[in-house]
Amino acid sequence: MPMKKMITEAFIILLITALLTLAYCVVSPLGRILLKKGLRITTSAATPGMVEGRYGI
Amino acid sequence: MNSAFTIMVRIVLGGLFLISGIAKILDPIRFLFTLRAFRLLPGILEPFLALFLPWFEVVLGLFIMLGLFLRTCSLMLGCLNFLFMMAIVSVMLRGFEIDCGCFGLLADILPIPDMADYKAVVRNLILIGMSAYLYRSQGTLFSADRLLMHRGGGRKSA
Repeated sequence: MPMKKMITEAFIILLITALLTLAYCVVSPLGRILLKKGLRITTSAATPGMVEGRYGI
Repeated sequence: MNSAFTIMVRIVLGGLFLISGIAKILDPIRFLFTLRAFRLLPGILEPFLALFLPWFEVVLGLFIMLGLFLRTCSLMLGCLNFLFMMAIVSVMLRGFEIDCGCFGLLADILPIPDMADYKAVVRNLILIGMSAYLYRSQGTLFSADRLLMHRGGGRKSA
């Protein structure tokens, strides 16, 4: 398989993924929360308890 | 027979990634915490990766099941599995006992081993082997690639 064709296919796959991710961030509240508050979550919150309790967000 | 085996590998590998990707999409914040627990990436990248990676798995899984861009998808999936395996090995070497986050929400619902340990490494090795098998296969029946090839006047792509 020519390398050029493979790179084109990989680019298409990444583009589709990026578009789906973007659409998810726009449509889903969870996606929006993750984008807005994700950066503010501290590493220390990464415990099972916090995960069960809806992450303390 | 060989073709039937390839179709089976496509369904198993693609289905596994499709399901685990969906499970992560349903709870992306849990996946974010899993990524943070690995302590491998800069903090600013983690939320974006927590959003992007599950969709990447879904797209690759779906394309492999459909047989679309099969060789490229299997190569990308093999590389992704290799990265996952390296992350798990690094966690094991550093002595952390954390969830690998491979199956997202499914790990709560089904009795699936989801710890970042040697079992996860073996599982990833098997998945890399399956990806390599698909990469080497010369197109299979019931694949979108074959359909596209016929539509394009039967030009051979490989």
